[in-house]
Amino acid sequence: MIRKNASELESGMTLAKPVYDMQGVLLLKEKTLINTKNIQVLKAWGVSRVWVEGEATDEERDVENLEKRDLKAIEEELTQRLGKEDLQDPVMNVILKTAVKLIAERTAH
Amino acid sequence: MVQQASFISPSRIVRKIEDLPTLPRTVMKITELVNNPKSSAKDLARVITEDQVLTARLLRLVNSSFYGFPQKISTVTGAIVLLGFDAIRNLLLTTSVFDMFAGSGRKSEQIQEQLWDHSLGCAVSAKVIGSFTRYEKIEELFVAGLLHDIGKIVEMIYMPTEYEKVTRLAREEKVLIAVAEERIFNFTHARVGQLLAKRWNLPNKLESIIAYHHHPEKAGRFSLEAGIIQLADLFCRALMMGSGGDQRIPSLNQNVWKQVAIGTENLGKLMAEIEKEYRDIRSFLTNAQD
Repeated sequence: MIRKNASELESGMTLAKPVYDMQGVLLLKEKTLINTKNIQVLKAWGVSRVWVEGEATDEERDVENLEKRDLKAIEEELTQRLGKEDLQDPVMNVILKTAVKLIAERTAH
Repeated sequence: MVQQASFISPSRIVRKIEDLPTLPRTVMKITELVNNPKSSAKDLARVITEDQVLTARLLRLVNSSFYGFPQKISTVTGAIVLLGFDAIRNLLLTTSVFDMFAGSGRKSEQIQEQLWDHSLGCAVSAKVIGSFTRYEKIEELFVAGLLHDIGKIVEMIYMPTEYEKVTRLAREEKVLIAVAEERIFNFTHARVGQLLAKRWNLPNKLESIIAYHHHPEKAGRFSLEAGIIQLADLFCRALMMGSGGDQRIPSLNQNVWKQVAIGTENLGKLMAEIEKEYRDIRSFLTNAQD
């Protein structure tokens, strides 16, 4: 399984994971065969990266590890800024998770 | 460990407040016109067009993606008719405050830039919360977000040494600036902001929001608006938009959360919208100053 930028997608690739938009609405199912039409759909919905089937190269693996580390670092940073009791609050938890995702996307641009 | 400074006497604070800058003359004049029910769009246009910089800014702002009007607005009168008096006053107030931020920097330029980003993040968050909850005057929420921490700017410019102690205490003890201010000054930026709002003759609503954005329950008939700003402050801190001077994300005010009634399931959409609008307006306002 490899993570690809939307701009790197080519017809004939197969989605390894379903794709959702920012609001969690399903755009494309797992195993969908990529064609020019659904590349356009992904771009139109602002999806920047998707998982496709295949073997990752070393370079791609490095990038993926870096992204995971980034997400973890952002989450740790934000958690430190919260009070302990705030982490027990279900609403604050959703705010935290959403913020981690958005900040990671911002820094990836 | 930071040593606590002796409390600043109230008379000294009042003297400092008297030294505060007034708004540019044109903006003052516009505020007067907006408050006068007899004023016409023409009267307002005459005052604005006397100032070339304001005219250019107004036209750039109304034609920006922030408003998203389908066709180009090329005259000041057109902009006034389309946006309304209050929105125009708010727009001009916004750019004047930006000037105040930009012009005051010497030593603490970076801290001020961070505070500007924080204020802008809060303004955008408040606007997005407002449109999400169908609040009638989202312009007002935007301006309130932008000005909510104006008291910090005053402290930064007029009491730089004391303010530095406040930020150091906030950093070392991991508390909000307001908590550090209470310990060092015995008052907070919310009070200073309220005094400035009075001096600038800002509307009562704005003054109350600035004064009570940490305690919306005390804001009387404007408690909803003060609560929206408190929530907006939380969102922009969680999204790490600039810095309010400390590194904290405040706790969620459960009463405000219930009152604003966004719903946990809508947080993803709402925060993504805040992020998008923040990026848009930030690049626009930065370029508008060139």
